[in-house]
Amino acid sequence: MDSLRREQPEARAELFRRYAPQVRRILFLQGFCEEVDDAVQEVFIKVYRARIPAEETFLGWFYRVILNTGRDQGRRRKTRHGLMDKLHQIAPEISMDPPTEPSDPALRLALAELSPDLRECVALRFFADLSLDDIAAAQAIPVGTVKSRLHGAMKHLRRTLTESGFERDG
Amino acid sequence: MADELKDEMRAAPDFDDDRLLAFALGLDDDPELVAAAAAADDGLRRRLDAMHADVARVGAQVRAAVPCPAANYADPSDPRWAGLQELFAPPPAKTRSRASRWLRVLAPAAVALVAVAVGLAVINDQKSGTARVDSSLPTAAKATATAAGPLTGAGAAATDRAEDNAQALRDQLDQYAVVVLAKAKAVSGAFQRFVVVKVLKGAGPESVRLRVADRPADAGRLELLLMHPQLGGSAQISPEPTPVPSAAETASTLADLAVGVPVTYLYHGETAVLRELPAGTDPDVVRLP
Repeated sequence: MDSLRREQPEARAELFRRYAPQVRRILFLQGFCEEVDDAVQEVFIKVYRARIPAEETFLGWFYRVILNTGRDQGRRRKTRHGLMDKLHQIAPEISMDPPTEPSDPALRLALAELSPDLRECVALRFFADLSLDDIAAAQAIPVGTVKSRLHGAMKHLRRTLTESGFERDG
Repeated sequence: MADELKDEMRAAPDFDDDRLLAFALGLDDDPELVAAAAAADDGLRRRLDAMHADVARVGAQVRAAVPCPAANYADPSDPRWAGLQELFAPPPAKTRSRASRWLRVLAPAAVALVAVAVGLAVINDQKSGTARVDSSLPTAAKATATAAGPLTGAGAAATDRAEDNAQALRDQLDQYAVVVLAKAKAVSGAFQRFVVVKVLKGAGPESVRLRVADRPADAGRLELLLMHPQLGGSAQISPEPTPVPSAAETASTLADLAVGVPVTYLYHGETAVLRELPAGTDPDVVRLP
């Protein structure tokens, strides 16, 4: 992170190579589809140009930049509507790394039904593998709230998956 | 141990699916309790295993819903990241020469050094100008000027200053034929009268009327008065007030008491020197060193 502060281009490129796929998935789950690459680019421009607050960890700050970018652009572009359709239509097309198992339409619907806060929590847990503390820092909420959100989201998703019978058949 | 576990399990709430989900997600506040209970209960362990499997399956489904992008997605040179190329590019070569960079670094430092040097020179000049004694002055006057001590020696140690004052005072006492303790009266025109309360050296009058040369003494204040320079001449000093310790804080020797800055008067055309004594000084305890 010191390299980033010293504006070393190679450090920036390495950060991009390492995190851009994650950033894209998180933004996608926030509702970005066609514009997701623009949003990814905006995230990294902000990260490169901003100063990391001294009292914060890099990960907490970094993912907060991602979430805030997604929220801001989401408010502007109103792309969250129809997320389920976009997830269904676009996600498979742009991936050159097919998932190991097919995605259950019911679960995609359940994801789209989650509130944005819960969906962010799920994204940070499953796309970024963040700890509860880091999720709390990224969402600027207490760890207890993270637990509650994650539990609620997973309960909803699990129930959906169970009711759809996908888990038994898949 | 087994009994304790059973008791604990009896007291613990039911391990419902919510509790097991929290445990499987790593959210449970007391995971040891759940793990211990599962270890002791096959049915609970099976439910817990199933919950772990569900969580893993949901996670896989979430990941599958938004799969990883193509492997070359994060290639910084990809045209889709045109907006970032500027930030990935090496910074432009510095156009300034190394010499100019050093100049930029050293110039402010040099300016600061010059400013400090000038300031020190001015301070030194002021010090020497204040304490300088004209070589044409008689010895008594030199002693008087010397007795004034460093006037701006704020940083000097107090002990050094006291020793200097004592030595200067001893020199000064040798240069004057009459040394008395006197109380100052109010100033009248260019003159100030002093009532002698104790004669320390020589034969002094009961009162003296001195012509103010520097500044008048505070009326009612006990002063050490030195008159009749034995080698003649007049002193030129420009003393400034210095803090005078209280009598209670000092020894009763004259060297310790007479720490005030010398003030010059004229007495019958000769230099007379006055040194202020601390307030409340008892004349009876004052003696020559």
